Amino acid sequence: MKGKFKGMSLLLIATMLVTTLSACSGKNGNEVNSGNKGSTGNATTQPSDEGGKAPDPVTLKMMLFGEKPIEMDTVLAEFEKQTKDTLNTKLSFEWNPNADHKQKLTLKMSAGESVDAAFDAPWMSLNQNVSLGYYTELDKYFNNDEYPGLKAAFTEDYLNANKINGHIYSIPLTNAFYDIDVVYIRKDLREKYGLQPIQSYDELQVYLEKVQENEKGILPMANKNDRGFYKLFNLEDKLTNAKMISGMSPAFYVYLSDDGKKVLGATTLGDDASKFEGLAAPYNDPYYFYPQYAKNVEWNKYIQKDVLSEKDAQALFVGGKAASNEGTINGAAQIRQRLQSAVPGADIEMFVYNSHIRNMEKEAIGTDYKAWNDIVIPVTSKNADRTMKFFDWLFSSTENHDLFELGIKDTHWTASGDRYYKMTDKTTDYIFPSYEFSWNPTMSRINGDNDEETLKLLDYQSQNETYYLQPLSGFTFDTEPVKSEIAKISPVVQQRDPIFNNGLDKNWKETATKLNKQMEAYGLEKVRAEVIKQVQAFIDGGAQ
Amino acid sequence: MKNSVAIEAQAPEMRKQNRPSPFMNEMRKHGLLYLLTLPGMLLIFVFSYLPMGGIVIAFQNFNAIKGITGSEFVGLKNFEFFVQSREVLHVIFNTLFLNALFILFGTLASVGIAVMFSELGGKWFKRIVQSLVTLPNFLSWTVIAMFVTALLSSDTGMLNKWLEPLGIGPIAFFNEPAIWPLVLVLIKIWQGAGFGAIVYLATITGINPEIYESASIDGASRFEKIRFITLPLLKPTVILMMLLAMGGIFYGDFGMIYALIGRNVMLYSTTDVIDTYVYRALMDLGDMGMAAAVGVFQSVIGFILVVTVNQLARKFSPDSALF
Repeated sequence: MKGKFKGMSLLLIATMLVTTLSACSGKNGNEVNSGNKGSTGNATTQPSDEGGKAPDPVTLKMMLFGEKPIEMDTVLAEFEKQTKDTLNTKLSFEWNPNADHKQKLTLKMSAGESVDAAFDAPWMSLNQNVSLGYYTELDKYFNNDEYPGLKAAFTEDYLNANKINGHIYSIPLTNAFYDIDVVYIRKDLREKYGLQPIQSYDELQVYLEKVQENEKGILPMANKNDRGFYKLFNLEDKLTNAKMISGMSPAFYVYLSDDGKKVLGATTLGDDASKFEGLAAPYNDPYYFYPQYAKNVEWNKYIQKDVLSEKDAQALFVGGKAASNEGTINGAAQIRQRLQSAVPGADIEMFVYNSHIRNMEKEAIGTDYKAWNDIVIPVTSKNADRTMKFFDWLFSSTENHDLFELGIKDTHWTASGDRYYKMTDKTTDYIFPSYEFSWNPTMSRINGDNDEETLKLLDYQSQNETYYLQPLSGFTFDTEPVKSEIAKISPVVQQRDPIFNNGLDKNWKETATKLNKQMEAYGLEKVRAEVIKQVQAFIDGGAQ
Repeated sequence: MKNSVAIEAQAPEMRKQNRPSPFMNEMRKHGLLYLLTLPGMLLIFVFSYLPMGGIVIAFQNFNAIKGITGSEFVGLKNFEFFVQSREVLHVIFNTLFLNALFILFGTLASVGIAVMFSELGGKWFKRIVQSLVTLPNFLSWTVIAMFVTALLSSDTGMLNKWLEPLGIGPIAFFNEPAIWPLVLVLIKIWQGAGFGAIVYLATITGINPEIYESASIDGASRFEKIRFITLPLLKPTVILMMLLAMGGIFYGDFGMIYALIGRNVMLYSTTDVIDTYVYRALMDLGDMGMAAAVGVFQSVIGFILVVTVNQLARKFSPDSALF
């Protein structure tokens, strides 16, 4: 025991020594640096109120998930060099495994450990955590002349759509309001069968049939576990007075009166016919919103038998073991590269399965202009102002923005016009998860290494006319009042959806009705009433 | 522990005789020895008893910012979802059933391996084999899950490829819930039995060789020696290990089940355990209070089980009871 203690105390002393020493050297380093450089600001654009005098040095702690980019430190050094006299800020990034990020953030806050900026998202825990009061309200930083970068990069509409309970709690991140869904197919195989480029579900089916007949060892289509066929065969109608409320189990469709002032009802899959009475056509059809499930059953023969145990469907496609794979357009360049390195001579093609999007119609995609990803400042942070100053700097010029998003110009990337960038052989040394930190509809560059067709679609999805505003934009459901019910219902839904999404249940209508009864026993009606109540309150509150 | 119980039991008698307090007496006599145990007791107190205050989270609408002292007290509300859901009975059954299988067959396999090792000659051979059976214990479940997929998959699985020439199959393992308790037990044995055998092997090594010698002189065969000496002398250890395992019988092996089954809902009917169920139920909500409530529930039941089984053990085999 004594020996152990001795060892421990030695360790402790050693740690303390090292930290003090490193702190000293840090300070010295700073002094040397600032001595070498003048105190006049350099080329970067800066808020004028700084007046050329650098603020006290500060180190901001950032929490993201994923892999640390190999040359992160080079980019940070460049950042510090550029902003020594203006921001005088160091950034310390913590990279967590994806699965741990959410818990770790909550734990850090319970322990009172300060984090200055962290990733969160509506699909993670943003809404719950805001309602629990975990995040700093950021209203005063936006549309404020002291933060010109933020003012320019975040339009009022964009911010309004991302408000929670009427306030801004996050820096919303997105590069477009939709990532177009496609089915990736093998161009080389299609040509081998003498087929024309695929333009419809029927033609896709012919292609899958051909693969099934001719290619032993190649699966016609690889699905991603519970994601299943995803949005294939989904309803394509434009919705102006109905909206799916997600972010809880089960998802509800809410119907509004023609003037949008009153909630007429809320339904979910498997509800009995009485719930649909009194709704206007086409909503009075209980299965109006679910055309995909029957098709999924029909197409189930093309996918993996053990689809629910699938760990990496994309690997099957890029490894040449599957002939098609559902995904989004952003991944195109990478998927092509991976496929070609595994199967020489192969090439990909994309089938945009939503017909409105395929024809690049205007107002084809409904959106509430909500970003999928966000940066938040936990209330435990003592440096909220400095953190927002940093983000103001980041969004104040394309050069600053490019530095973090793409790395050092002409090393990690090269510019190609104002909108595009091209990859270099060093690109892989700096793959920054920009969707967690810097994505912005006006500032993010598009990968110019894509083929023409992809670039056209990427351009299309970045244009405003492509979208129409969905009703109830800005509404977020607060799960707190019905969390016991949701905790009971959620396992039921999570057992149902993967099966339906992959078409594994021929009698899906009966199953849905049966599970709905079970959910009813767990308080489905209470959740429904809460949904209607919250949506009505949201409308009455004057929004939208 | 035993000493202190003994002291308390003697206490009333001592007081009658008006002697100095027995506690002080004991301290004067063995003070230094107690001082030696102090760091250990302190460590246990700090790391095992102080954190128990956190149990209070299970009864709170916990808020990380307000902390344990500031969060609203909600009584048993956090337990509601778990107690009221009908599936819970099912997952509790699965948890108990799978764990019972794991404990039973795991112990049998471990004891078997230990006995075999104790009978093995050849120093090098023994060491190599011993390392080989212990090795799987150090593989992560994620890695094992990949082996299992490669082995059992319907489209590309090795097992199905081997069965094909025999005219059997293909067996769709990943769609067939009934097979999985067996599959899980086999995997669990492969992974853990070798490591579990170490304790038993140590016990066997500790058995006085003279007993075996005298048995040999009396003409006992190898099997008779195992049957009448090794196994009976192993019994207290076996019961002790089972008692310890009993405490965790309400905890599903999340790492194992989640890695192997993942989100394959087709297999839930036989493989869904409390931990995976709760994970799914609370994944969207991320509510610490409700998660803690289930944890408390599992611990309390586990504690009750350990006490009961210990009571039983004391009745039938006093040597092997824990306390």
